[in-house]
Amino acid sequence: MRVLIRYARSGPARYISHLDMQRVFARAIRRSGITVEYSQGFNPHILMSFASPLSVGYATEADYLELMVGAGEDLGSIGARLNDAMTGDIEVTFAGSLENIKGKLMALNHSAAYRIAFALENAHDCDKIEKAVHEIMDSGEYIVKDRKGREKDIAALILQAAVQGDTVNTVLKNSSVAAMNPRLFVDAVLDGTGLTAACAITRTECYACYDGKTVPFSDLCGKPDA
Amino acid sequence: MLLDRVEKPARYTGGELNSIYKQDAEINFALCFPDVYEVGMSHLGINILYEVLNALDFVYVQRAFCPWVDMMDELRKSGEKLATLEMQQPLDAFDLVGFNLSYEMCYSNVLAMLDLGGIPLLADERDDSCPVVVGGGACTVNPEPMAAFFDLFVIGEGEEVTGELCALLREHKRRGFVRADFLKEAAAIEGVYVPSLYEVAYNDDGTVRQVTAADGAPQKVKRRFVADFDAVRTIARPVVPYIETVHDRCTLEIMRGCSNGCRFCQAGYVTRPVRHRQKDTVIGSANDVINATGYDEISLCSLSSGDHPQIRELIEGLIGQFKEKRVSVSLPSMRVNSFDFAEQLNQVRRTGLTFAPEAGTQRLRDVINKNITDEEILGAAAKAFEAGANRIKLYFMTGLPTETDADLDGIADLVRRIQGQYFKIPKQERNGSLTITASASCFVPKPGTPFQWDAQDTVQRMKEKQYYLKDRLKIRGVRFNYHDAQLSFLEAAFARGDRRIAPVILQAYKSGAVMDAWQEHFAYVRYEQAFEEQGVDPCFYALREREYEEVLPWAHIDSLVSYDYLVREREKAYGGEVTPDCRKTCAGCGLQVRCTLHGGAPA
Repeated sequence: MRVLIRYARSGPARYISHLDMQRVFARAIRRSGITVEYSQGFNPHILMSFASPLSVGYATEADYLELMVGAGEDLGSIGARLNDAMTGDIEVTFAGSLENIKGKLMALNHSAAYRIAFALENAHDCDKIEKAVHEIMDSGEYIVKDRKGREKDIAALILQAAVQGDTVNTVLKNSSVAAMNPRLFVDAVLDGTGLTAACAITRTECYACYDGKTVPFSDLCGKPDA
Repeated sequence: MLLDRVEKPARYTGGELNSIYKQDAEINFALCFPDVYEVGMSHLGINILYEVLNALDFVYVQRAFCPWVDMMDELRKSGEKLATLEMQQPLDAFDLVGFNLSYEMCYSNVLAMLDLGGIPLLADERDDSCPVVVGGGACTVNPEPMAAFFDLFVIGEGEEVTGELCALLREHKRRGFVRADFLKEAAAIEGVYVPSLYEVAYNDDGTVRQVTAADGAPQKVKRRFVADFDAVRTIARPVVPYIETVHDRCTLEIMRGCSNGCRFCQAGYVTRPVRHRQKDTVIGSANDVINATGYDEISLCSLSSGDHPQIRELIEGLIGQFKEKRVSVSLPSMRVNSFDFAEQLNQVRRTGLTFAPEAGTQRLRDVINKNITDEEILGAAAKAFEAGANRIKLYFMTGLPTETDADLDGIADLVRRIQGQYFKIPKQERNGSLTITASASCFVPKPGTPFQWDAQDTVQRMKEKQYYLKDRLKIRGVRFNYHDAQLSFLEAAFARGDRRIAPVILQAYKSGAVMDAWQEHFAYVRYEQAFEEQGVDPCFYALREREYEEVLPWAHIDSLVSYDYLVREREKAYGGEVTPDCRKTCAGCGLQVRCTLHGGAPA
């Protein structure tokens, strides 16, 4: 049975890398006693894959993975059983069936929503942030260099951005052909304001593109089950 | 946020599964490992102490590791103190701060952790408000070079004596802690060494004249060991790291001590007597740990796991029990002659094969009492190759006592003959091409061994031997690695040093020495300058052959292995005479009355 799992992470768990997160889930699954399918070969591993890697330091309210669960398992209790076996900073918030869905989660990625909370010293710095965000959004084209030094037009990759006080809520492209890390947005905004400020980044949803529609991954399962 | 600016922030966050949280414990203990998280969390002793001590309801043990250099900088810049993972409490807020000294090259990190934790580096600078700083672990065979920085050391196995120490501290805390009073009473606990209660006098030639114990402190501090190893509490719910550590698996200790008596091996002597954990006890622990962690690999750990009397049943039992759960079983410490079990583990094909012949010729192997023959090595290699192995790692040492060029040639010879075994397999049946990795470390004479009186090779000579070997091992399919000669020299000076080494370590630390076990951070020049400016000659400690009459700096630390036996073993070494495994014949090492092996009457 192909199962979609949605999870949230906060606190120290924010600092777990993508690779380590896979191991954290694999171990929690083993502790939970849920029957799962394994790959063949000398080093069998649990058949599990994440929709989209989450950067070190980011919290999430809705990230996704898929898991091949034994046929006899009860879908309704999977979330609770995983939570019993998991550390407190990671919480499974949904489990649903992907039986009728074609294609790997990874290939379905469309975009992701983020909440970026700046730690600002002065209240009027909020206005500077707002101005910088609008400048980028209204620019039509806004070229920045990414981590590897490649030029990227981020204006095309920012689907939505709204400023509320010290917080920016945004939706960024996150597909295999075009994706953007929110860090680039943050850097561009700070560059535009001349401020140096720390910020806390939380992914609030991941969207899939399926059958021509863009929906949260959990909607792929039809009726929510947890 | 500090954590957003450093590499691998998960090293510092805590919050891992099975971390222990307690409120209002009477004794707060910071358990420190002076290397990074990934190394420290892989250390069996740290994991044992964490669980065993936390099982005492009046004690709360939290973990702290040495921050990586980037985090050290951040801490210094921000003025934040080094804190424990569980409650983020600074080290100076604890009653006890304990360090595991597993390797001489971690000494600078101990100073860094004390410093960053807000604790005065020198024991005599600490007042009653400072934590009691405790050292334990492998290096306590000779704790003298670090004596100035510690209030006390626990000599030998820590799981029982550390609890006794905590109980004593609780009494003292209840009636108002006075450091000097506490230390004086602590010294009466067997296995506790309080360096400030011992005075060292030196001869004109620089050797130790005598060590005098203060009133009430024992003249000799006896090493502790757990008498009932099978019954003593061990790991059941280990902390599961979020990030990948060096040994990221279920490690089960099946045996302590070793009966092989390899003469260079400190652990082989100072962990005697040999004790086993019963098969059923181990399988019980395995179930506990696997259920509590979700690990998919069990590793059996000891100095020589193939020697466990129930090894076959144990492995079969574990494999049988955990097959369904897809948990694999591995055995890291195998002697060549117990190789047939490894085959059963399917491990060989997967990870390749590791042998430690240590020396290149039978003659030199007899000197060091490494009782394996070329035939055994070649036979085991042939078997492994037939089973599909195509990678083999070989560990050698250079600079062993009596070594000549012929012994170095022997290393190259053995490598070629092992390669020859591979080519005997018909070409179409070979599993690709063979890779041999030969590593040569530089012999470091260690206290507590029959070679504790021996001179180490000079750095110059070590390097010459490395180049000589490098030349002879320019063979297709063979990779040759060797250790840093200067690091080995320093290790030798620290291993057999006395209290006059402390100012050198302190100065080197102050001039930037830290993370010395990490090649990219080690700079010999810091120590070279410190030795020079402190007027201490490292050659005196590393390169000098001692007379049997000399008072060794660690003579007041009793490893329980008899002096006469070590002398006998050394004489036999120079005569090329081997000592059989204790299971065959008892060699009378001094621990025979407390030994569980039945090797017959003492020689």
